[in-house]
Amino acid sequence: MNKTIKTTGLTHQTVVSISRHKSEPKWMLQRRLQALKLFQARALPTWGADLSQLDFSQFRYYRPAPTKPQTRWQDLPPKIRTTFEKLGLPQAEQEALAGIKAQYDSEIIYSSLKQRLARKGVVFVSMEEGVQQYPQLVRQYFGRLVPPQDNKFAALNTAVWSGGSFIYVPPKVKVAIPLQAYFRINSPHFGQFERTLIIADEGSFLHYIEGCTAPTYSSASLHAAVVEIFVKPRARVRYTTIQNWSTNVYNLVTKRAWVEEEAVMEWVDGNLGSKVTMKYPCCILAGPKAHGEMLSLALASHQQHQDTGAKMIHLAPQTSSQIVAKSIAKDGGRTSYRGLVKIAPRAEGARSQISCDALILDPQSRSDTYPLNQIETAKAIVEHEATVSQISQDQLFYLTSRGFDEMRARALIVAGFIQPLVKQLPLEYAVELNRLIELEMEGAVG
Amino acid sequence: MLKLDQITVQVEGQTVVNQLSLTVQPGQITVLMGPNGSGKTSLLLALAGHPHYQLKGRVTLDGQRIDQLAPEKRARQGLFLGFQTPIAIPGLDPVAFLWEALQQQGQSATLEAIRNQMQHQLKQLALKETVLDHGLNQGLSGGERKKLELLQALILKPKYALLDEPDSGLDIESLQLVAQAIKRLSRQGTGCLVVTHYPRMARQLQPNQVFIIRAGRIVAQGQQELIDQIEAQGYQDLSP
Repeated sequence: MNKTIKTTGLTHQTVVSISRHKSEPKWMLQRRLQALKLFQARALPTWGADLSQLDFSQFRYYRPAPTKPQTRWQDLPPKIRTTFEKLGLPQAEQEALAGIKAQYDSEIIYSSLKQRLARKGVVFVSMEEGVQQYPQLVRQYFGRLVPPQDNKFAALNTAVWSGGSFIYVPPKVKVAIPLQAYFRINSPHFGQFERTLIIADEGSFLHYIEGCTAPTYSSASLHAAVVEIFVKPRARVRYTTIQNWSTNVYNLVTKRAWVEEEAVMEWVDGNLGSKVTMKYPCCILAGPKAHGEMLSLALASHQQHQDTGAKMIHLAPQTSSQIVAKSIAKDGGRTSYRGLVKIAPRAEGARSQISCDALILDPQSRSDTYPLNQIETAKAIVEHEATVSQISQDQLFYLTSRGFDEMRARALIVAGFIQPLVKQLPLEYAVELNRLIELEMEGAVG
Repeated sequence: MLKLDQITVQVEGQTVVNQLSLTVQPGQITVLMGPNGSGKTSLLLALAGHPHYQLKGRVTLDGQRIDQLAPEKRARQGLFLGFQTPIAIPGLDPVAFLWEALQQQGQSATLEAIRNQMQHQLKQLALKETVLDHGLNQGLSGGERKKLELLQALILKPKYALLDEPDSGLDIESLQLVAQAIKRLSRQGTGCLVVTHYPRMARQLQPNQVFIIRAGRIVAQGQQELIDQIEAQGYQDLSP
């Protein structure tokens, strides 16, 4: 194994080694190297969360998985199998899942794809397999929505990406069960840079779910993913994320969707954990009557900053968008909503609804809202409402008078607050999210 | 029985209830009437353990002293407060809420059973079934919230229910439905202490006893004839 990629830090040679290790075609290596230059030339963003403690030299940018890709569960090494069992994977895999792409460190080591989907022409492979097996599609779409010039972390991801999914859904094919991917960081100092590209062809439907958990460890980790989604006319894509990074992770993610005529893109995004999250999923509503939705939840606790939001770019007439952003700050945590709604001159009759609700659980915690609306036509309707609330004494007394102790009362109020997001999740995720919130709340009675 | 013995309630140093004693028997209805500001709501909130109200004196529930207990412990002993202005808890599923509240009090039933009971009671109270689709009290009018308080009591089956103006802001038909619901509650065995302004309501309840409170003190005690007297003459002649 090449020695360079086992050490920390990022150089020209690191990138060459990653590409060589993946036996990539030359064009991908060139893109990586071009992106590396952009990454190195670009300064850190000066807005948003505090990134001054980020030290790029301390991260390891690639580590091959301990085994070759697997297709059968029983072939996985016992240790990895146990890890996944703790995540509740095997059962879910047996029963409901179309296929699992589980990422252990940087590579797909376990994958299965039900034949039924394959027969319909649905492609659900790792990004590496995508590059090898569908070079034309990947070459055409990779980096088109999120080019390396976009931002420093998009450049970084493009240079060192590893893992992630490539999905293609043919015209009119409706994928009835959600496609799921589980990601897990589990070695210290290890940056994870998965890259996902989804193309939903005309009139198709897809629900993709990524859930992330990470064990706690002491040194800072970096997660800089890029997700690009192309939603062709009349197609509908829902992308659901539940992330629970350990509290030392920098989670800096660029997610963007291109939404064509009468197509629908829905982001459902739950951010728990991490040290710093900066994430603003975007819908570019490019075709008439395209619709974009964002439903998000951020929970920030002690020494955490969740700087999250959404971008809705209305480029065509009669496009519509809705943003529902909920946040909870506790134990000195900080949540920020940062959003952009842009309505271009051509987008006559566009409508956008933005609703931000922040729940602040104690005086040490903080929540801010940074909405930006750029409306370039008079024929558009943009509604924005923001609320900041605390758990009221009246609510607490109401619930305690019904026999709930204060801790449980608080948990019920918080669970109610996030209900609009939870009810959009598949049952197993809803249960898991409620449980995570309850665990978070257990220390929150002051 | 629920026994209030020499109860004094203070709010921010102000005495709002003074040396008040009364008892509520299981399965009976006690009506407490009095002008605005006479201390009725303060009394009920203090009995339920609201931290804002300091209560002195003894409150015993079936022989057990409860006035030193946290609100949730009082509830678990079988005390229920029907709020005058019930607050909404957005997103909190009413069925799951009642299911868990029952468990807190040592009873158990399936979610399905609770849902069925609630649907039955919603009909009895002429409430829309869509009440169950929203968070607790969310999007409901004041009158609807009051009805939902009674519905909760009917399902939780507390030993004693303190009902704070269950009739205010209700139309005539709703008033009758609420009165019937309170009577059903008492027939179930719950002892009810009902605070009301309205003689019409008080009469419909056919209470076992009636107390009049003015300036924090009981100034008259009787039965239905006392209601007629209040309706005819007001509270003027009853001085503290």
